[in-house]
Order: sequence, then structure tokens, then C-alpha cells
Amino acid sequence: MSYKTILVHLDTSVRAHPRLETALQLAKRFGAHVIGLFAVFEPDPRAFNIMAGTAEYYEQHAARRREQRGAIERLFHAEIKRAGVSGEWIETQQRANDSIPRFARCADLIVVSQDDPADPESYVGDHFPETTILTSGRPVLLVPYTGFFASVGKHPMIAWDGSREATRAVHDALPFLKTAERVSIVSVDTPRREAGDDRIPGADIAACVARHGIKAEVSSGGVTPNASAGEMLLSRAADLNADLVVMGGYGHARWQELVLGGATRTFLASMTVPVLMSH
Amino acid sequence: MNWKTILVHLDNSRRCDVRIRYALDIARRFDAHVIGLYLVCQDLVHHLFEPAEPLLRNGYEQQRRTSLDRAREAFERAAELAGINAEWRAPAGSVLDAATLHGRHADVILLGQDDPDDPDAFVARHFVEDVVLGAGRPVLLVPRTGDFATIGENVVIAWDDSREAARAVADALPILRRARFVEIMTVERHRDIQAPAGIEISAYLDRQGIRASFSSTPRVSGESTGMTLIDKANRVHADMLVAGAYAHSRGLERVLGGVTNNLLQVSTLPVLLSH
Repeated sequence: MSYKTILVHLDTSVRAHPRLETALQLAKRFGAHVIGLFAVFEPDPRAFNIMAGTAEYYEQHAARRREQRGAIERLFHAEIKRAGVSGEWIETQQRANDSIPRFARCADLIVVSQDDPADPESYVGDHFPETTILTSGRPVLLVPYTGFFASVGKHPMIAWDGSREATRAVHDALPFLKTAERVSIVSVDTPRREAGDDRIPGADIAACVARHGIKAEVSSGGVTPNASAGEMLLSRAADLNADLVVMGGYGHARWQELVLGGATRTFLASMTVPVLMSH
Repeated sequence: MNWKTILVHLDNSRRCDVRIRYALDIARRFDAHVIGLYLVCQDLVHHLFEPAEPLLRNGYEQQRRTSLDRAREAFERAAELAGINAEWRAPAGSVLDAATLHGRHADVILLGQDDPDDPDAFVARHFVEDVVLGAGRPVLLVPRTGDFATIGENVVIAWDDSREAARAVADALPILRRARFVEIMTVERHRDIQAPAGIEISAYLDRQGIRASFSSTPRVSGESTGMTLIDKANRVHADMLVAGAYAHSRGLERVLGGVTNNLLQVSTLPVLLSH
């Protein structure tokens, strides 16, 4: 099994093109089909009817959007032709938070971008990356908003803490691990680990992936009291020179609000390499 | 990705043999490593309700040791006969914690269905449910009756566009790739939806090299969706059902969705459940 359907979220932001590049690069490696899903934030036209003169502004805005959408669609078709992979373009009228999970469930990997606070065009919905991770049921590859990533997954680092979500992430990342040159597992020691447990943390999961033919190096993270697990993992990823971090995405949907775990939040805010998250 | 580590739950119930054989058959197919996890009910109070049980602690301990040895011997002999690389584990401590922890290091977990007629099959309350929800790996539930000559040759997928169903399909890919017939079944909730459900997932499976047919059944009022699914799956002689497991966490107690509960309790064919 490998990734055979890759869904990439496209919008009108400046990062849409690098994201598409990453998706195409992966599609070429895994022989996958690429679905470009265009979903942007569109203001509700009814919201303007109480202000005089806004109709004209809204019309102009919509025309510009159509132009931008046409440009990214042409870019998508040109790029998949150049890369020589099969692909399709999907557009929805729904809000991004509703449409992405629905299409994502019929894909193997979803490529979305980290939230960029400096680019208003990158806003497509409240908590968009979080919602995608928690509701799609598939691994989500988050591409940072700065930097260019020539290769993703040559040296993945697995952040392992023995949780349900980490288990999901490791198994969802198996195609990456199988094609990687080097795999590192960094175990995060949670303080609730009971004493007298003399197992090497992370050794069991290394044995589990080893049966899939993957050789992994195990090291312990060693959480220091004045740095959080998220910060420790970020610095370990930089030390190891990893080009992909595989980790579980935690969260509880509490009515409409999404509450994320600490390390997940740290990564969503300040990742420097692409991150594969699963819930 | 194939299944390379198969965890099977062992106990002293009469269905344990069937479960071991089922696990070894799958292991042979995938060239996998089998882990036998021996977990039995540790609740002393539970035994008080059985009049035939001696209350003497020593006798009880002795009995536990003999049943453990018996289970171990049966498992190791079966594995040796099958020529499968097998490993015995009998961890101490909470059964649920042990099942979840060891389950997370496996590719698939084999559990037995609740059996009201066999007191030895009882491990803990909501054991299967809690493992399905907490392990993050698929659980293959072996029913309390029947013998299974074939494994995953004719597979039915219960599809409803949900996150859990998507998980289950992805987790079942190793089985689906080897299946001869795969059918995607949808029980319609609303009749007004135009596009046939299952057409997108069918395209997805096609890209994974799996040919699947799809069908949808109208919902019959008065009959539960779970029963409709089991019924339809039996009618096409399916030997495995793939379904998502739903739950709502309400306080500490986990409340399962109706269909999931139905499948857990009454299914007569093996069910692969994912959350």
C-alpha cells in the first residue's frame, strides 16, 4: 500500500504554488493521482446588503476572485502536465471547513498549509488546519508558510509518545518510512509513566516498524522542566536535520471550539519542516 | 502496507482456539508475526457470583496458573504446527491498559465477541469497545459462533462518508487487496441525495488497485441499520465486514453509536472496526 490519491488544498494565497509543488513531488514518488481542491473564504453576500455602495465593491471583488481562480486552475493543469502525473481539479461552493473533510476521506494524503498570519488570502476558515486534522480521518501533511522544501520524507523523524494518535501517525506514514533513507524515532517521556517500567521507550514501536522492513534509530527526547515537549521536538528535528516530522494530532472537539494538545499547538504555530499529523 | 504484526487476545474461553486459528491463517497469508496476549478477568468479585467458584484465594491462584499454562501450551502448539513466528505475552496490571498498550504496537488486533453463554470469555466491561476506541489500530472481531473457512475473500464495506468509515477502509487495505469481491454498501438515510453514495470511495479503491462494486439499500423503518448491514452481508456470503466505529464520549463513559453496538453484539461474520 502506498499513497495513491493525494489531495492538495489550493487557494489564492502565495503559498498555493509551493504547496502544489510539494504535492506533485510526492505524487511522482508514489505514483499517485493528484486532486486539486480549490476552496477559499468567500464573504457572505447577504452580509453587505445593509451598507450602501458595497454591492459594487463586492462585484469587483468577485471578479478578481474569478480571475485568480482561473489563474490557479491554469497553473494546476500546466503543472500536472509538466510533472507527468494524473490529476483532477475540484471546485466547491461549500465552505472549506465543510468540503475538505468530505473529499479528504477518499484520499490517502492531504496537503494543506500552515496558517500564515501575514497573508490574509491564506485564511479559508476558522481553525482550518486543525479541523482538517481532526475530521478527515487521514494523514495531513502541513507545509510551513516559509521556505522551500526540495525533498520531503528522505529523513523523517517520528515523535513517539505511545498514544493512540501517535500510533495512527506512524501507521499512516508507513509509505514515507519505507522510501526514506533514514528514520529516527524520538520518544517523548511523559511524566505519568509509572516507575519500575524498565522498557526502553520507543523500542517496541521500532520493532513494530522493523517488521515492515524499516530500520529506525531510537533516541529518547528527555524533557527538561523549562522546555515543553513541542519545543524539544522542534529542536530535535533541527538537530537531526529531519525533513519531515511524523506526529499525532491531539484535539477534542468541544462544541464548536477545537482544543488542541500542547505539542500539536506548538507545531502548528512554529513548524520549520513539513509535518505529517494524524488523529 | 501489509499486516506484519498481529495481536490476538487469548483467554480460556471455548472460542479461543478459533481465534488462534484465524490469527495464524492471516499471519500465514501476510508472513506476519503473531503476538498472543493473554488477558483474563481479574475482578475477584466477578467470580463471587458464580456459585461453583471456590472462594479460597490459594485455590484461585492455583487455578489461574493452570489455566494460564493451558492457554500458553495451546497457543504455542498451534503456532508451531502452523509454522508461524509467535510470541506469548501475559502482562500483569489492568487488562484494558495492557490491551491498548500492546495493541498500539501491532498492525491489527483480534478480539472475541462478547459471549453471554461463556463466563470465561468475559474480560472487563466494555472491553472490545474500549480497545477499538483507544488503541488507534483496527480491531478484527471474531464472532462467538461459526467456523471460518475463508478469510477476507468476499468483503463488504459499510460506507457512510464518515471519518470512521474512511479510517476503516484505509486500515482494511491489506485485506481488500487480496479479496476476490469487494462491495461497498450504503444504507440510505435520506432519499433525496442524487449521486450514488460510494462512487468516490470506489474510485479511491480503484487507484489502490482494488475493484469494488457499490450498492445502496433504502433504510427500512423499524429495522436497525446494523441489522440491515449484517443481513445484506450474509446474503452475498461475505466473510468479512469493514465498518467504522462511532462513539461519543460522555463524561467518562463511552457511548457507542447504534450501528456499532449492533455489529459488536450480533454480527455473525468477522467485523473489522476502526475509530
